[in-house]
Amino acid sequence: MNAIEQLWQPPVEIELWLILTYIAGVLIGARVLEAIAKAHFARAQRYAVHGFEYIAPRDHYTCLGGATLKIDTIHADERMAIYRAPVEHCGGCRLKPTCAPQEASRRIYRSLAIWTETDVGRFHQYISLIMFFIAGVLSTAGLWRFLGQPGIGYLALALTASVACLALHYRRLKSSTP
Amino acid sequence: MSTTARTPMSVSPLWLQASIVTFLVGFAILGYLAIRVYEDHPPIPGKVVMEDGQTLFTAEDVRDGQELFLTYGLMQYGSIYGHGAYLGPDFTADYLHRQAEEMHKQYGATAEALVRVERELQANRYDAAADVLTWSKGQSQAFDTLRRHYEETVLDRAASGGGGLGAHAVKSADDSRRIVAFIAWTAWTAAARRPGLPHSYTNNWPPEPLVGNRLTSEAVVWSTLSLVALLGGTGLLLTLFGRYSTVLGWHSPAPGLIRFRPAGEVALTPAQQITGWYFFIVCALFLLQTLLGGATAHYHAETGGFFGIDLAQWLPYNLTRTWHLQLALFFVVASYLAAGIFLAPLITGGEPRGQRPLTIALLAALVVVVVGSLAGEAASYKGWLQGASRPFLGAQGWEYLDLGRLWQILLVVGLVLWVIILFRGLQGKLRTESRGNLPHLFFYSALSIPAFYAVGLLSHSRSDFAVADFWRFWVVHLWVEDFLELFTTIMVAYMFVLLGVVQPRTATRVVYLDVLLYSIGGVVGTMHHLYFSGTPAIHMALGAFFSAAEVIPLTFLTVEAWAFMQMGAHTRVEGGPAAFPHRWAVLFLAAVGFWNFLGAGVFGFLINLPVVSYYQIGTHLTANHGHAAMMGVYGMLAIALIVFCLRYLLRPQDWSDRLIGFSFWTLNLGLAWMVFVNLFPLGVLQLADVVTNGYWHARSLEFFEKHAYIEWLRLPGDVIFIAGVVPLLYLSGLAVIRPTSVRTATGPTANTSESPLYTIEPALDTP
Repeated sequence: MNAIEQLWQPPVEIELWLILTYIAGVLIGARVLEAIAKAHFARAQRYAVHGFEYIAPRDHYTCLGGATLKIDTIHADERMAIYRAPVEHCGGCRLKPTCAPQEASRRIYRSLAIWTETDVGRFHQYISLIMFFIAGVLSTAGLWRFLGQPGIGYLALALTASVACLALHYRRLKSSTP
Repeated sequence: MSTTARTPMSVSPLWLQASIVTFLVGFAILGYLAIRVYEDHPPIPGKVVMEDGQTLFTAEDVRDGQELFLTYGLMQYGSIYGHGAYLGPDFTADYLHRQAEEMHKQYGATAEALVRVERELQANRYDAAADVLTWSKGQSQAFDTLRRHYEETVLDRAASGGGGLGAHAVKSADDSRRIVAFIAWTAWTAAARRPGLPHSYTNNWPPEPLVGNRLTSEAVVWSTLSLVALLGGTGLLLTLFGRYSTVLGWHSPAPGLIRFRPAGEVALTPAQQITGWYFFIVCALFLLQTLLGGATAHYHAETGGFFGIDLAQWLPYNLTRTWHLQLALFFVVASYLAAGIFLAPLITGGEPRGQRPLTIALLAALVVVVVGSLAGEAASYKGWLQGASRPFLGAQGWEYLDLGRLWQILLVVGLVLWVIILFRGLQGKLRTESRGNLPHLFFYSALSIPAFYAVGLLSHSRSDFAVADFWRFWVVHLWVEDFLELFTTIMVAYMFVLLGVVQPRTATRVVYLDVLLYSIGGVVGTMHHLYFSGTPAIHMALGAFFSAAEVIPLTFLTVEAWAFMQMGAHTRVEGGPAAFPHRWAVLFLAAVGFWNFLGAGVFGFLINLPVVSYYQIGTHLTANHGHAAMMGVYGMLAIALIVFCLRYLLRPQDWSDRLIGFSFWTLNLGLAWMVFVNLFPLGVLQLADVVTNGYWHARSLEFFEKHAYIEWLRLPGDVIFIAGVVPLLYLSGLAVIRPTSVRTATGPTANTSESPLYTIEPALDTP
């Protein structure tokens, strides 16, 4: 068996198997954790305007009382759009005491910031970044520890995958930085 | 006599009634389990004799040995029944394995000898009527051999280093003999079968083929059923959340345009100003705690020293670890106490006279307890204290309840004083609000903190191990994971109410939801710590079933917390997002959500099932859950509260977003590094080693030396993490040296209905 063939032999050491599995887990886990966080973020956004339906093509909301909340103001610097129901509609609505107790008519504050622009989104992106980096560190440590043993090619592959994930993620992070 | 009408309950009384019922049911079950543990804990025989009737050791030797084991800090070096520290061996498993090997050798090292060893170790020859346990010739000889072994390799080792303990840690040969008698007794309980049952007193823990210790059928059955509980409970809760989501969660009408008062305009009461000192001390303790954590972890990388220095001579592993754990509790709890004192005047709009001296007295008491207990632990471990003063002034030595009895009692007294301070501060609201509303919930949860910490007084260094462990986990699990969590949930909810982002009604609903969900799983779930420490199988059954259910609220409350924090994103703040003064406090809360899901939820559940716990208890997978949950959830919560309060304690010109941001990123990334580079992968390797080479081997120094490279890889993460504490210490120091000059007089403010932190702008509300 030549050196190249040995690179792709199944690893003998159980520790090498575990490290390879772990690196794969960290790379996948980083993406999964971020995806879960992103899904929760979207859910939380929906729940914050529970009872109001956003009609994207017309860029307005409709409420349970039947009113249409049209765009009132856009604060580009604050990344926020304000939608408002007609005062005359809310004035006669039975839901007003619970829906807009302090206002003449109901407003909805819609954040225009996308996931990557929010503080929470950035937190999760950095967590992913460090996880990709850690996968790279562990691959390098594994290469150093198991040099010359069968299956080391898989570790080199893991290192390449880690570096690729790291580079792509870093690029995504930089491009989304305001 | 004038009577003041209380404001009605802001939510349906059903919430309160349901909470009381689940709370009572949970504690009724725990009460039953307490009775069972007193009835069925492993017996300590009056004397253990050889077959010729010669006494090997007595019950008094075992109890003395346990006390010496604990007060010399050996539970913070190695472990018993998997409970304790991770550098030294698990003494139960190690003794059991070496004993079996020694007996096998004595009996001729044949296949028949193996069968004989297993039979003799499983045989329970304890005569309850005579209170005498008879050991075979092999067991008796092994005891003598292993006494010398532990004396030479651990207790009275000639050279320092090489294992984290200083030289001659236990100088007296008689003390060593009694310590080994205690260890030998625990090993006996781990192999001898319970009368009439096919498993040992420890439910066959540790896994040890030489004595025929294998998973019990109960462990498999209850692991399976707990998975059913998890899946069924998740389905049920998903259904309920889908159907009643608007009733259950953080959903409020839009609050309108909020104008936050600039931090420099928020007046502070005298007691609030004193909390600056608390936070400074908390941050100093936190820094010391992280440095000790670094040193503790380093013992795994370099078992023989600290970059060439014989650190074990001055700061042995058991002392650094004890202080590391104690300081973690101290800094977290002290920050919660201080935040409670800080929030009370914001809730009521002022404070009564005399709060300032009481707050100073509490601070002084905490300093005395912290300094006294840490010094006492050192004095006990180093052998400077003798006799009854060791557990009283020195260390009781139970992991997490390490502090001496005196300091433990003083801490309870301090916590009661804190409740008095809170009661005085809140009484204006307590008198006028319904007993089911937020101010009362805040006070009840505060009351539970000294009450449940005091439960720890039921265990002492001479208690039966299983009984002591039962009460110890009331503190470790119930006090920390349930009642401190409840208190902080209420504080965070109140913070957002005070900031105008959430209405009191919504916050109250979520607090009740928290009480309900945690009472269902968390209370009885405490027993998941006690599968293998001498409790009967019923503790495993109920612990596994209910603690699996605990994951459900944990996940759902995290999800709800996300929705809650998004309330802020849908609130219009005058001056834009930059005018929101608590961006970093909220980000620390977001980090709490992340670590709660990962550290407490995923990593906690990973080690929760009896079939997993059987192999992994006391490995780095436990430490992994401990760090990700304790620091990730409680530590980050503590920092969120500190950052929130510092915003008002610091002069506006001294506040630094950059420094707090630096802390936020370094603490989180450092913790992630610690977990993903070191604790989790090493735990997985250890688990594989348990299955391959046996539990005793996975806990040996040999294992750590083989994988030292993973410990070295942890170093950058620790450095990053420690660096993150420095800015917090600096800013809290500024709050003490140059406090904000905006002060308010003692006494309630004129308009308590107005929030001191924000106003709703009426001008923009005209159509």
